[in-house]
Amino acid sequence: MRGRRRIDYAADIAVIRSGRQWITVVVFIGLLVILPMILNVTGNMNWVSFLNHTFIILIAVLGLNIVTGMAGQISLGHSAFVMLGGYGVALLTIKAGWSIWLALPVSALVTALITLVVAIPAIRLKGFYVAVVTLAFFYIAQYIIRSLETTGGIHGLTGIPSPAIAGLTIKTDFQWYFLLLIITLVCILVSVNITRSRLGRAFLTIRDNETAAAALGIRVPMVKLRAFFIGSLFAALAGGLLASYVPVVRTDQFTFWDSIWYLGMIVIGGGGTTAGAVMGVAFLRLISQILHVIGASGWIPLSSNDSVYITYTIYGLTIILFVSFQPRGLISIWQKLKVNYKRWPFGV
Amino acid sequence: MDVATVLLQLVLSGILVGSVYSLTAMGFVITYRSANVFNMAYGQFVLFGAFIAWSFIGSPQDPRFPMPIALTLTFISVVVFGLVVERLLFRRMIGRPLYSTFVLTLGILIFLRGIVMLIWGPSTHVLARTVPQGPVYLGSIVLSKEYVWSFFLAVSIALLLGLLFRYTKLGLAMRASYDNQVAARCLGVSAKLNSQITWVLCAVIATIGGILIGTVNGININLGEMVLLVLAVVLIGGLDSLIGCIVGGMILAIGTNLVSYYISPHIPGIDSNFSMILILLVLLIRPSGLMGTRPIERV
Repeated sequence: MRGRRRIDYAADIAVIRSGRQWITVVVFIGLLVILPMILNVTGNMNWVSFLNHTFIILIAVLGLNIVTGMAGQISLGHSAFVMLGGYGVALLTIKAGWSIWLALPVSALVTALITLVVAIPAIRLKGFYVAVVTLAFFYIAQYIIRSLETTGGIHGLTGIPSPAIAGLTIKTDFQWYFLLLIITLVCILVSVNITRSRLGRAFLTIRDNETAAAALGIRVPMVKLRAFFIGSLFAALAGGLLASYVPVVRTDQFTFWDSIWYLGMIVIGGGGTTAGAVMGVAFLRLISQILHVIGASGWIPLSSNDSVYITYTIYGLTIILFVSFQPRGLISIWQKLKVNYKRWPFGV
Repeated sequence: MDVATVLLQLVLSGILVGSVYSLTAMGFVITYRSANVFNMAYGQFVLFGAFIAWSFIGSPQDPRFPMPIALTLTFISVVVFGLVVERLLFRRMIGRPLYSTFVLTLGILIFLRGIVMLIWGPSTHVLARTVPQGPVYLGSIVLSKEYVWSFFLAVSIALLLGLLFRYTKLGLAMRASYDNQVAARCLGVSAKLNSQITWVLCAVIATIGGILIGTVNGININLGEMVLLVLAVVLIGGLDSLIGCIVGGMILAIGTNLVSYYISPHIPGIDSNFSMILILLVLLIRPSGLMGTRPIERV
């Protein structure tokens, strides 16, 4: 009989639990390091830019995964947090002349504090009401940023400086890739560690049953506030990186649809687990890239508008199919495959 | 015009516009009350219904069918649409957690938006007249005739729905399954029939709303943003109350009128975000809305 044979709890909840997992992780990271070099040689720099955007989205989705996937508070305003982070970095670097390495954490902290103000009505409420509060916050934040003079109105802000490490300015997609890869890996590690902590277990308890969580001695409002705080830290970090990478911030970069994509990625990947969030992001981003390549290649005669609408349709269909037939997401498919492989021919 | 006339004009036209909002919001409340689905895709239902109606009715320059036939065809196809949505998507969600149905409606929202744009394109479609048009004079106050018509239509449909929910056996069954789906099924309420009627009603009311708004403003993708107004209406009134819908619609429309006349000149653009500000205020002060029932917590 094969199974878990671990003697103590610490070994059971370790991030990497076996030699085989060490090999998997090292090989996976190694592949991620080699990938842009191959793309660089073959001259597919569009793909590197695509991967960079995917990393930034992944960081934002890791934040939403904490708020929605773990703590169960549906947020439709996540792209507002991303937007605030982006504008924070833009304002601090352009108007105040700060270094980007200082601007990123400060902007993330300020965004998280603003989020707390929004979260205070949200924690008094439940379920859909939280979704609607965050939705309303998104539109109001967008309206305020559009009307203010300092944020450049509808034209936004341009010319956000690139980060520099030891005198080397990160300019090309290729250099950005490695910076973003490192930051993303750190974020994934942080996210996994939150799942393993006391706080992470409190999140899951609140998601599963709020009243029972309160009865168990979890301070529900405080824990929800922390979920929003941590989630918006991730979102604002993603926004700041995006602002510096693109390097423009405009309000129409951060739409209500983005919030839905983020939620969809969590649902498709399987909510509540970091691996699920990673899978969901990879899956939806790959679909969008494939659609983009097909649209650009001209195999099917389509106007550019039509290809946008087809993307909407297929995204929507993917979410509908996953919610209907595979509500636990890709992660559950993967886990079933693994169990079947181990116990073959006595699978589930 | 003196101050009192201006105020009266704003309030009266607000009441008329508000009646259309109220009517449209009722489709949302019905699915929430009876199927327990918070339908984020409702705006796309409105959009879809309006475009179906446009396909049969046609534009003023190019009318397709005579009005009675066109309306019949529209409602037949919308009923079929409601049944298909129910059978394919929401039947299997009975008994699933609320979170899943919520995300499902988000998926439908994106899907329908894509489909509608693929079929009808992003341009504004003008609808041939469905209700009489022109001005109505009440002393020095001017109102538009189509809104007066919509007002009476909305009030009568609201009355019919209220009667359905309060006095018929079907309405009782729908209320019972909102309270507790499993218990209702144990007592012999057919979950299938109940769910079918709910979704057909939702689609039909969304279409009526879509036609009424489309007659005035024309039909384009922005009609889908209607869901934001509907959300404001139902949250002000209380999520599970039909009377709350009427009150909420009036408050929203009259408020928007007043804000756009008195405050917008000083703070540009605030009237289009007024619904969002109202939502935040209501949820801060009284989350169950003016007429809604407060939920009781159980473990």
